[in-house]
Amino acid sequence: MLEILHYEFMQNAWVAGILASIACGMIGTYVVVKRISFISGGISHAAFGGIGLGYFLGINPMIGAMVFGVASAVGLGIISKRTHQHEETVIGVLWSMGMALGIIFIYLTPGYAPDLMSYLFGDILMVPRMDLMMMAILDGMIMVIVFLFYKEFLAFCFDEEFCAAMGVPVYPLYLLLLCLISLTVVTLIRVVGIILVMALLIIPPSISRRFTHHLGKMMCISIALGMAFTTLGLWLSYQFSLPSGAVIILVAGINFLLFAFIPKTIFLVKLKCLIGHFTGEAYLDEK
Amino acid sequence: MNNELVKLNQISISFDKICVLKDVNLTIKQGDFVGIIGPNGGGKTTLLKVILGLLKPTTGKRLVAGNCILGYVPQYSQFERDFPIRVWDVVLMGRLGRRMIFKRYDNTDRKMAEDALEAVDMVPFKNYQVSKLSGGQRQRVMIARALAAQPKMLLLDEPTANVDCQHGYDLYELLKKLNDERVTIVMVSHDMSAISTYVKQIACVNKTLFYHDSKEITTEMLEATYGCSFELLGHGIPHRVLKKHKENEWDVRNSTL
Repeated sequence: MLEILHYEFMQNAWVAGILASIACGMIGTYVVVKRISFISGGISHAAFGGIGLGYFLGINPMIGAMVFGVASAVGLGIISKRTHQHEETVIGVLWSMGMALGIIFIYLTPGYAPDLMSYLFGDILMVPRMDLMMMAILDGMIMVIVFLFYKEFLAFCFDEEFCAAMGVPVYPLYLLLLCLISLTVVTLIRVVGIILVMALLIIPPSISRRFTHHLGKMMCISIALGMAFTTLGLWLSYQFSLPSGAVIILVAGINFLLFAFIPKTIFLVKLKCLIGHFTGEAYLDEK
Repeated sequence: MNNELVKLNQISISFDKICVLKDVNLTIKQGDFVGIIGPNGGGKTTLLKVILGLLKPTTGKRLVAGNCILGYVPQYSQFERDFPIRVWDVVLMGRLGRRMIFKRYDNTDRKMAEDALEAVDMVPFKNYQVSKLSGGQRQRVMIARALAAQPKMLLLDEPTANVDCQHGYDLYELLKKLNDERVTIVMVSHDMSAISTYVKQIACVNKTLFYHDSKEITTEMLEATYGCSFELLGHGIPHRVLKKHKENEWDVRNSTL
């Protein structure tokens, strides 16, 4: 298995998977506990407009995606607060408008977009060094922000209204969380592509929440799971010459189903004890 | 404002041009135990949120004494049951307003949280996940969270909505104990018998507010508030009826209104 890491593109691919897992383990945890996976879907699809714009202007599409992602996140927050539209309506509109803009930009760009598919479905084998740097920087930013605002985000996710009553600026915090989601989406685009982002964001935390009831530990387990899924998916896609993004998602999805359908078996209890042993969490029996 | 903690002055509030509260005046003093009653949709919760500052009134003024910290115990149904969080972390949340952004909770915060848990008798459950608690226990944790901020005033929105009878009684006893320790309490409730037993002042809300600086509920008040005629427990002399109940009679009179 190790010999495949001799290729430089494989090294890059693996590092990209690891970097993406860090961002999505942390932010995915918030997405799952706050139940805003639809929002993250909306933001990731809106980012496609930015990829199109990147092509059109001849700049790195990842930068376009980042700008569009953050703009749609802030826009979503502002529109749903200022107008009387329901949030999910606004998400649906942004979702399809971003995609439409992307298609128009790409249509207007002379020539054709050779690696368009790789942005839609991810092509981890084609990650340039430059993008790895960008992913690492985004990871760092996300980590610092999550660390600084840990207690505020926890309280915000748990009980928004109480937070507001305590004088915490809830609305800016919400916008910040949406921006973090859009940055995470950008790191994930290279690995699994816009269309498949949601799965990698949601699956690791939804498995890890069964093993812990501590948000920070949930993040750590999610990161580990994400790393395992991307690594295994990458290896399988290499072995069977299949598209890497899709294989990674399938690996994650199958694991999700496995964990969902084997509730409270001896295996799960043992695993729980094992993880509890590492995270120092004493398990109270399920009453 | 000597011992006045919160003062609402001619407050009106409307949502989408529908008036919910109109010309409400209310003064809450140190040591009060105010029960807010009224029909569904009458604006009880809105009034509570105006006092808390969560809702901005359309017109009118809300004054809060400078040193007055408000503790809030929201209606239970608002948060998700299986959220991955321990009792201890929930209670620490009460310290949020006292801790700057970027700063972690320190030993003072932990001490306050510990004291708050002790006040509601929930220390043994410190490491439990919130979803493993019963309705009454969860409500105690929410009260502990509010107490952790060391509030002068505690505001509760239907504290016994998801709690069975005996635990509801325990909860009111706890509030009474806190009130005796000089915590001002403002409580929205449907539970008339509890209101008459524990509460010192009564506010009837149905768009407008009728405030009684005593715990006696009069038929006039109820009729004006609920908009239909009332016969209070059928005892004959309306003005006396909800008065002078002993605390241990509580569960016998649970089915009124």
